[in-house]
Amino acid sequence: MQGPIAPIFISDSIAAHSSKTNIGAHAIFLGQVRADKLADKIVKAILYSAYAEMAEKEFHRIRENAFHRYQLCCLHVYHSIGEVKAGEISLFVFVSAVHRKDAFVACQEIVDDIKANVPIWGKELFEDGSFVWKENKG
Amino acid sequence: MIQVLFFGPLSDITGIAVLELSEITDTDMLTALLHNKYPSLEKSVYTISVNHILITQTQNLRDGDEIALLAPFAGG
Repeated sequence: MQGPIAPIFISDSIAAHSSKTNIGAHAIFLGQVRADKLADKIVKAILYSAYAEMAEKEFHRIRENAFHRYQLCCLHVYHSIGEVKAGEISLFVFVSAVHRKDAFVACQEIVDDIKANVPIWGKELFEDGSFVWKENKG
Repeated sequence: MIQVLFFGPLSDITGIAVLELSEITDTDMLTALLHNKYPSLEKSVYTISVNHILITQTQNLRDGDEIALLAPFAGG
């Protein structure tokens, strides 16, 4: 989605699932932009870009994998495109399962898969107008 | 004609986002041409996708193929 993911969107998503009474557990991951300090400069925002068609295919694969491997009721993944300021949310993974073990494990796997395999890039923007390209670690 | 897309820092290195080329028969020929045209690209780390699928070895190319040079992903 364009821009940061608003906290109200997250709470509304939770509320939207209360009618699905076979769900016993939700596992939610939120990725927040950190004000990293790099060579005496502080990150004020990240500008995200993506190879959209390939990213959609990867998200679809990740979703299919997760439903195949775990007993999930629902799965929603949202990643920001465009500018997200430090302190704002750029990734929302929302896993709902019958039981908590599947929710916990699936959520971590999905986040790790996204970070490794989805064609998304970020420019870390500094106060002085300069930037570096984000590098994922671990 | 094939379309070559550059993503992440690679679009900064080449100065462009998209390049159209003709008479490129495979991905080795493509990378040789691109490294010659953009010398900094040769020192960069990237993977290649053809029609949205990552390739791990040389692949033949056909008219209409969409190739992307992908810098290491940084989502999440």
